[in-house]
Amino acid sequence: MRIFFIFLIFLFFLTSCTSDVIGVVLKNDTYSSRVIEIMNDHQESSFNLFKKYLDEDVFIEYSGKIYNGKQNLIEVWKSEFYYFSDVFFDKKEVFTTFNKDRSYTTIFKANWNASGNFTNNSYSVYSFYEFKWKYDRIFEIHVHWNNEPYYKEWDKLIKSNKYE
Amino acid sequence: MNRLYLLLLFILISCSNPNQIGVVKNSDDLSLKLVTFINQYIDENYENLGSIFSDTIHLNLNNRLYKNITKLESGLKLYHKIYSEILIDSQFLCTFYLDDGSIKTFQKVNFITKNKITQNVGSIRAFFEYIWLDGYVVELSVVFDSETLNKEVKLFKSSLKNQPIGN
Repeated sequence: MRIFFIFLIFLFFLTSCTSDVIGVVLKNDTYSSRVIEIMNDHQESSFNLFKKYLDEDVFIEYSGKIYNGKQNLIEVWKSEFYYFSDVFFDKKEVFTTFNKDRSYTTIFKANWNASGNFTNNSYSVYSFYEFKWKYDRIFEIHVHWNNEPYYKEWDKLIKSNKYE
Repeated sequence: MNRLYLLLLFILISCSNPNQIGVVKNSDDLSLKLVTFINQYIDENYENLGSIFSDTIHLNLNNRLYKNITKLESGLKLYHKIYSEILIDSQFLCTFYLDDGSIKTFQKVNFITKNKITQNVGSIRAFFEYIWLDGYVVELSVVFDSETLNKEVKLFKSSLKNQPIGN
């Protein structure tokens, strides 16, 4: 019986250590609620809540471009409203994973919709945001996006300035 | 015997966390299938497409919608027509197994490309979301910055126009 018991414990630890699970998806967690609030505020061009949860040394990878520091990040997010109006997200999906390294990652996926301030075009872009949390602060953000709307607005802006 | 019951109870409690709705894996069969797919793709090998993707797959490429596996294959081949070399600089993927039975994989890949016409070397950072049903991908969404690609496609098309007719 003792040998069987020891074998069971051994088996339990063996299977725990060789599991291919690298994280779990959380249910009704605080981080997802915070990100939903942050993105709702973003639609209203408000960044107070975002500022509250950003680490001073936050790092963002935004469609291949890299920005460092809280203030730079806020400026980048604010600049969106120079080019676009009526920004809103639909088809939203958000969830948080608790990872094997004891960090948390919140995924926010949605269609970003907006009107171009220079072209008057309407845009709908599938976008993917990944927020990484440490000590209750966001220390890393990765955004996957098609920058096409920006290029169209820049193009129009440059052309219109030429003829002023 | 009591200890055995205690151990079984401990295992049961560990495995049924009420605060979780799924698990994340990166070395399971489905994740490995997609690693193989990307590695074969850069070698222009499309043999296994049928064993990974559903014939009626819905493809969302930067919010442009396409249907069926032949569209996927022709789309994949297009990049090899434009680029003489496609290499993988880095990749990360993970598969989510949710308690409601749904399965999806997120994959991030940074490709290094060399244009056939201009010989320009660039990079494309792409995000893929695969939705699985019965062991096949039924939906694939891809996001990447299309600006560079659009320029390369224009160059490719203009190079075709300048080609002499016949051999």
